[in-house]
Amino acid sequence: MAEPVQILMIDDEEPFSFFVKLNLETDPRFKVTTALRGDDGLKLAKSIKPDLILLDIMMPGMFGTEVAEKLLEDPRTKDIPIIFLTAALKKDEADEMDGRIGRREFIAKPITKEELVIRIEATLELKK
Amino acid sequence: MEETVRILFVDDEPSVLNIMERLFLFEDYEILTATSGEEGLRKFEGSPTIHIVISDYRMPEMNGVEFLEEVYKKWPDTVRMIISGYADLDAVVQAINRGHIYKFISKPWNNTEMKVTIATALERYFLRKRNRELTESLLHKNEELRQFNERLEQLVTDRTTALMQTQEQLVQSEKLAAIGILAAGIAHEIKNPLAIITMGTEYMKSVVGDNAMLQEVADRLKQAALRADTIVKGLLSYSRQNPLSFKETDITTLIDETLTFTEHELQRKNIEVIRKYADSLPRVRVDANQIKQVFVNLLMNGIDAMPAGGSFTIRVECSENGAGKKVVQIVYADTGFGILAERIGKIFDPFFTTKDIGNTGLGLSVSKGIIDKHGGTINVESRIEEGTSFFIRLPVV
Ligand SMILES: Nc1ncnc2c1ncn2[C@@H]1O[C@H](COP(=O)(O)OP(=O)(O)OP(=O)(O)O)[C@@H](O)[C@H]1O
Ligand SMILES: [Mg+2]
Repeated sequence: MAEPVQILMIDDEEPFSFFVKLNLETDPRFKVTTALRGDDGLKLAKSIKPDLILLDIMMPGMFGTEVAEKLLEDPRTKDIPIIFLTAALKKDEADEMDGRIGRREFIAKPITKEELVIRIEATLELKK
Repeated sequence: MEETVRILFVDDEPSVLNIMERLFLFEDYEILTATSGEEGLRKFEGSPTIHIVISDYRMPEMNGVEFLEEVYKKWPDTVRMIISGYADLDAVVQAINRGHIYKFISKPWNNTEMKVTIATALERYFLRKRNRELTESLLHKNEELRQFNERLEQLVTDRTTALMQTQEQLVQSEKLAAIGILAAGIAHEIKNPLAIITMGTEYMKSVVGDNAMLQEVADRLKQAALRADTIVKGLLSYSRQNPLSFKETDITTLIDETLTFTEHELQRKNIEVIRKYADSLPRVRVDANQIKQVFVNLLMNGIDAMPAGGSFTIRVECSENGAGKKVVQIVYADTGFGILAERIGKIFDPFFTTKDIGNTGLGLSVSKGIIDKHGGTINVESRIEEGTSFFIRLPVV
């Protein structure tokens, strides 16, 4: 079996990240690292170079959208696909956020494990 | 006064009448005579206003009092006087007391006295007439005033109702705005814990293995979390003024889509769906998502109202609205338990619900808001134990 997919999850909701990690890692294809703050997440992104980043938008300190901008500025991280996660908006309002999150993948919380896996698979497929 | 004064003398003795005519020869009066009460009444009928009538008491057939009482009935304005000897005084006095006769002139009378009496009687006649005219105009004015008052009251009532309605709408929209602010504020706070619960229970499910009991527990926890999420979403969609995107649509397609969506639930609850779509229906311009939300709300309400099963008849037909404009009418008729008369006025109010937790009571108010935005109408009819029908009318393209 190939190396598991490295996923970096940046979300200030510690129990959420914890459960997402537990859930995803029941599948041997995934390996999840978590960060509770934007700046920590940025550092981790540079060091572990994940295959995918799950990024919360509303976080204290640095907003998810700012984290995304910083990731884009850095050549080491600019090609890592990002899926935004947020509790603040409904799915059908993702379009309104256009420009700020730059037409990128978007998931509204709460989400089921199944949906999450489907989205991750789809995103990584697209990247290949 | 310009008016010609008419005086009628009634006496069965023609000679007395002659005397009278001569007596007033040089006065400006028109003198009429009659030899009996009957003839006197005929004179009244055939002549313009008679101002004064003077009758003898003793006459064959109809006596003076009887005659004057007749006159009183038909021409109450005429001043009535009677000439009589003392022998008949009783009857005459009684008539005077009853108000049917103005004055009694005793026999034999003297000419000057007669003239003065007549002059006074005339004065009285015109005074009374004037008085009556004044009273009448006063009454008339009074009536006008009353009608005016009535109109004023109606106007005040109308305005008050209108004011109350706007006020109600204002309160309603303020309520909505408040909900909006609240919903947006708490959505994030609620959705995060819900996301945690969902993910946590899913992990539980994946590790409890064959333990059916724990699987069930996890399932139920997850469903509860998703239900709570639906409520938050409902609140959000309720408050957000999302711009609508109208597209020309065949309404029955949307109905069918929502039925597919609820099919499972309908079957499980033993509810038969009967579709009665008219042929070649005109198209409507709607925001498909929003209209579907309305249909789902109506389906859900119907399902809730038929716990022991029943049938849902969905009719779509071409119709006209009150203003004679073409509309597509969609009817959702269930055979559920119906709505109590005292509740029916409230079902479109936000937060009005008769259901337990998990229902926000927003379904119908959201639906009404959506239909309003489409320029349509939504109405309800219900009979206890028989069922409820919702009527939606949407303008045709
Ligand atoms: N088809 C129906 N038959 C009987 N009662 C109904 C029907 N539709 C609505 N009602 C009554 O109107 C109330 C308000 O309906 P509405 O859809 O606004 O809220 P709800 O169904 O209680 O809650 P929600 O829609 O948020 O789940 C209901 O609680 C119910 O009492
Ligand atoms: Mg409802």
